[in-house]
Amino acid sequence: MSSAPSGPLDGFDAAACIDRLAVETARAVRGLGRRGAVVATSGGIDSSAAAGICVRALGPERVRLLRLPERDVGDASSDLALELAQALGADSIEEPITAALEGLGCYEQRDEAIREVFPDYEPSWKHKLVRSAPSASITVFSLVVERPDGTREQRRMPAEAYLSLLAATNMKQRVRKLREYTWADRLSYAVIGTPNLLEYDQGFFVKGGDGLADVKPIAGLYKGQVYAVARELGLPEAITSRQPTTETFSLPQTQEEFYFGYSYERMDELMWGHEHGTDPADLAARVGMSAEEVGVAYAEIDRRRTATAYLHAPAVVFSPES
Amino acid sequence: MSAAADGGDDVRSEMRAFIEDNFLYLDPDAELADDQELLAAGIVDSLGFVEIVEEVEARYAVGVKDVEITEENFGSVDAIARYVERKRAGS
Repeated sequence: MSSAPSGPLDGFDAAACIDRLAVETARAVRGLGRRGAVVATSGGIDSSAAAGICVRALGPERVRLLRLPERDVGDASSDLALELAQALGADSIEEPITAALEGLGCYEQRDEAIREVFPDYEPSWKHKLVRSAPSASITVFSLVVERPDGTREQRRMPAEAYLSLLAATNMKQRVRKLREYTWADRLSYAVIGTPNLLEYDQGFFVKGGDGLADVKPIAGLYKGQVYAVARELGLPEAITSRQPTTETFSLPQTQEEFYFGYSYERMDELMWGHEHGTDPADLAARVGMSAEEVGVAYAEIDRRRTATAYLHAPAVVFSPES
Repeated sequence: MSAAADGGDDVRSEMRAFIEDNFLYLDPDAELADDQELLAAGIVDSLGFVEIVEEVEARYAVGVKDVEITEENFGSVDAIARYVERKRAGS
């Protein structure tokens, strides 16, 4: 008889975790020869928790927070990030990136990609990208648009339009990273990356964008653990109670519908079970799925790792000798 | 040989050539078997299947619904040939 499976929050000691991550973050920043940390904060749980750990590690005077809003996300995120900065007592600077993205053609190229699918699309319409339900097989992406009268329509993304849309919207993460490294150069600080374990492991980041950083303090934490850490740090309730979003498209979009296919709570449990070799039949009741569905989820975890290996890969270099 | 089987063979060779050109271009010596599972073998990823669907729609003038984009219908050259035959027969 097998014992009841555990989960990422069973026995998780958030206070001890914060202490350990703060020590390691301070050591890493010093080891890199940098004098502090730059953290871009979106008002989301991950960047807020990472910022809180940096302040604990280095003190608020050695942490520079950046707020980098753009047109599609609106001001609410920046307002939350300002509330975070006030709670942490750290300096926060707002630098909207909309003009830079306009100059680079981000919105124009994005709109062209959307018109491949909806020829009558107008930039004033809201939109988002969604995936098909998990199946351990083929995943199909669709574009959802909302017309000014509130009606929504969903159509499958052709491959070329899908790639063009992602290439255009990935500029947002890459321009943010450019601003972060500009501040890091100016202050001799390290850039802090804010992916959690699910995002890091499953390749849910933009190469050279949010995937680029000098230290990634929470890349080993499950999402539920990030929330526990944020609450333990005493971060504003408006942040710790907020639903995660991708901050990329103009219609509200969860990570579940765009990438993971499950709520983060369920994805946490599935990843934990996968990593601990839990038999799908044993995990099924705990996550409220059938054993077969858990098996499908495990297969997707493996497949996504393989598919996103390129995102983690460093540049390939050669020696002049054979 | 029946006309239907002839048509199936055309689809097989055309789709095999399409997959070899688009997904096996770095491995020109690879032999693609008609029953090779394209997803499990890592030859075609999800986006690649969308490209295959677009090719099928354009080349054979069939409409593919989202729910039909499955391994049962597109998972191998054989599966694609059977699917196209079924669609052409109007089912």
